[in-house]
Amino acid sequence: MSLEEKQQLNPEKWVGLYADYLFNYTIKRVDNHEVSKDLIQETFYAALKAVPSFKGLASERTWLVSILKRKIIDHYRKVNSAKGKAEVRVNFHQSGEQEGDWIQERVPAKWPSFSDYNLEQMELSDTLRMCIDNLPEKYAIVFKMKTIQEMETEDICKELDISSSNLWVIIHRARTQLRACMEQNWFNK
Amino acid sequence: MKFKLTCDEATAICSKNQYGEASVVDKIRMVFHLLFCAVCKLYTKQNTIITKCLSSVNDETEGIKKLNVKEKEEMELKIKEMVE
Repeated sequence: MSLEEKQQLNPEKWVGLYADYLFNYTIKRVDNHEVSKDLIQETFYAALKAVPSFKGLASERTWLVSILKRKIIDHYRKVNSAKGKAEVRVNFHQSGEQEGDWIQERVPAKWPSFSDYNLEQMELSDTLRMCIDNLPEKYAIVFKMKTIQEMETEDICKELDISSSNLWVIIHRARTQLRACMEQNWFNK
Repeated sequence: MKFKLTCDEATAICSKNQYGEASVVDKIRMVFHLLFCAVCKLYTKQNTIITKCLSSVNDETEGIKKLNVKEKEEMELKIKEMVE
């Protein structure tokens, strides 16, 4: 392959050409403006350092996305492993004779009849959004990818480098937390 | 594999089922659990309501999100600095 046929890199043009595409890709996964911006900036830095090893086999954009994907996994690892960070409340006994049973004060309460609520109401979506945003990040990221972006389980596992059983534990806890939050802030207010 | 589920397991299957991804065997185990567990039955009902509410949130969040001009200028500047 001659040099002319190889894909060329033009770092000066990266922001203009790819920033929006990469940003849109990232925010669908981490759903935070600042974090997404930082991840893209880091991607550009990493890409600049890697320019000499770019073989020109993929397009510039594909190459940048592959670097960005790595950055997203790293970010997810970081929020996932952070000790002492916000966790969801435990709803079930984790050990002992009652393992797997509901913890008494976390048992769901009855909600007023659902037909009394109008689903179109803005406030309901607002409350739900607020409850989702209150989820600890490691739960929020997976929950949003699965529920809001409606991504395939397999794709999320690949992109975040987690197992499917891990994914479902996170979804289960996120939804249990969400239910409790909606009960407190909407249904039984 | 034991057939009986704990509440934690039954509600986990319920959540998986909200996305249509619970296996047939798991669904049978869950339904069996719900026959005897009023709390999880209530949870299942509410979890389904949450799913309905979520679909209305989904519709609102569609659309392309972008960085603003200033943010892009800053990025460009940082890249230039590094190239030089």
